Amino acid sequence: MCALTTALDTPITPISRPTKKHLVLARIAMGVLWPIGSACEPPLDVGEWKCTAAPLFHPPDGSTEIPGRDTSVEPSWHSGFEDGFCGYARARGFCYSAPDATYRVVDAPARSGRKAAAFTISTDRGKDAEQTRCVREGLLPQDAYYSAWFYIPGGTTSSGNWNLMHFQSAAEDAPLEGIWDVSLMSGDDGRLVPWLRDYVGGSLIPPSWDFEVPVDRWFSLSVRLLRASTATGAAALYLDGELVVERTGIVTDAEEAWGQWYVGNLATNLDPSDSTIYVDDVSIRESLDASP
Amino acid sequence: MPRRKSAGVMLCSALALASWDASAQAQWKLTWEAPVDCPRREDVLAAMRDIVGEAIFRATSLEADGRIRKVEEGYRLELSIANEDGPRVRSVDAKVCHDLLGASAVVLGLHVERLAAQSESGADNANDERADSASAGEQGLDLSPTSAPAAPETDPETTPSNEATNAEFASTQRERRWWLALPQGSVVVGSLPDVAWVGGAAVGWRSDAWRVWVTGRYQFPQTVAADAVPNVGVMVDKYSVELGVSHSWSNPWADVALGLSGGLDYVVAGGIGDDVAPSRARGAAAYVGGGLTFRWLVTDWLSLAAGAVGEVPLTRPSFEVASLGAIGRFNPVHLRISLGPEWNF
Repeated sequence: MCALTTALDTPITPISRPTKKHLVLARIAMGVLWPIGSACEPPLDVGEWKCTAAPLFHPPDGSTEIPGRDTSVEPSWHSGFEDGFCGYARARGFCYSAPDATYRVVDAPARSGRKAAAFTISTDRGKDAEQTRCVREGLLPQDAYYSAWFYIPGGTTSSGNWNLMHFQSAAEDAPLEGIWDVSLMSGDDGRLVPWLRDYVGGSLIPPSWDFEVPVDRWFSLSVRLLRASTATGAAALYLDGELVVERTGIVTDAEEAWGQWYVGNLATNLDPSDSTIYVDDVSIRESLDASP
Repeated sequence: MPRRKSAGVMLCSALALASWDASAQAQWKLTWEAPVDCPRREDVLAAMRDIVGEAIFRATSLEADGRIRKVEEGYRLELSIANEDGPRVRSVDAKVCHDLLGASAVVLGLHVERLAAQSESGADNANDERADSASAGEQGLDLSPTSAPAAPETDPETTPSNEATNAEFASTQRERRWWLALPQGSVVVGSLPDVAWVGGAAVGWRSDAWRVWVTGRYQFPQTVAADAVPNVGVMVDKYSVELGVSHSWSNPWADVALGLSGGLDYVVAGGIGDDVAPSRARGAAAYVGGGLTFRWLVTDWLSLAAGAVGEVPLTRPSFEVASLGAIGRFNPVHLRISLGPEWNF
């Protein structure tokens, strides 16, 4: 039927010159036959999904106060991106990307459910695309496990910083400062090694060469953060539930400080320069076992 | 009639049993008019044949005009039988119209038997007159004989001439009426994940067993949830216009009709859910269907109809949410079950 419509709309050389009556009859016939044509089934557009992005949260009362200051992050949160990035938006979180980077919801690969998030960056010097991530912010729990599942396609090496998780903290009226990173380091043999970086004590924890981050399959990274302003805090990194490294008896940040937790893809020097990391089942829990 | 000739007629009738009605009509002129819930002409002829027997039935000619009309306490049959010395009229009352089947068959049957007896023995009509009354009395009916040769009490304008053909007689018993189905409630099963409720009305024209109609329906809003993501769905309602035709098979209290229909749906859909910026979309979709309708003929002017129709949409547009894709679609076939009164005019 679509073809017939097109044919009627296209000028053709008539065998005999059509009269106005012929054209009217043809149009009437098309009007009757049009609904019968099963080849043309234009979809009914019923709206737009709001969860393709999680923009910065703006308080509905128009307040200019930074949302993180009066938002409490509960250790019972999870997003599998089944509702796109609305899981972040509803929790007053947000996602962002450099101008040439992208974040989006994908159907595959997905670790659970039908959706996952894809974070695509490039370290090409000609692009501004080095980072794209999603953020939870607010008063972080005093003790919690921050987990996410990652899928990294094989074949990429890093000779700079390749960051998957990032923690920041800010005391009252002070600017945000980085406190912990979970990054990847490429070995000479091409292995990707997990690395928990500590900015608080000024000490640099070396990469954990006894562990290897797998490629082309899903794996989980979890950080336990026991926040303390005295030397009673702790931080630990787990790969697929196995302890990689742990620091105890440390000062993390001020207990009353609010913070941010970033998950996504940030790199400074990749080979090849383009990289997409898939993320699923992001959670903040009270225990490691409770992670999905 | 000679016995040899009578035997020959019976043999022919046995060989041509399938064409019995046609050959019978060649000898009978029975005009019949009756309400829809009353005996039909064929019923009367069949009953009379049972009374008089096949041989006499086929060997005798008769002209009669039967009319049943509703009166205050039931129904009244007026039967005018053409005779050598003029028409004779019988009037029979009954509370239930179907009881007039036996009365009309008895009156006509006795008349036919009398004609048959006359042709053989020349017996006079007086004894048969008494037999008429006695037999009708056994039926429990009020049979009021009008003394012959009284003038017919029927309207001369509606009485067909004796020269009229059988086809013309048949046409006089055809019932043509308007009917209205209002309200007509339906449920639609299988079109979308949940059952949909439908309200509407139909107006139609009936000619004997055939009906044609136009229906207007509104399908109340139905929610279809997106399968892939939470907090996303679509609300769908639609308006329908339908044309249909059916043929029915009936008895005095019910009929069953087999029908075909086709129509256009005007679908209105809009996104719903916390995660949707909704918009409304409209589209037309054609469908065809076929099914059965059962009618309980409560009175001459009221029927209760229940129907089950399978419908096949010829176009099945999908419901699309931008950035998410199709979240639902009409199924290839569905069932519509309807119920409601029908008013006959």
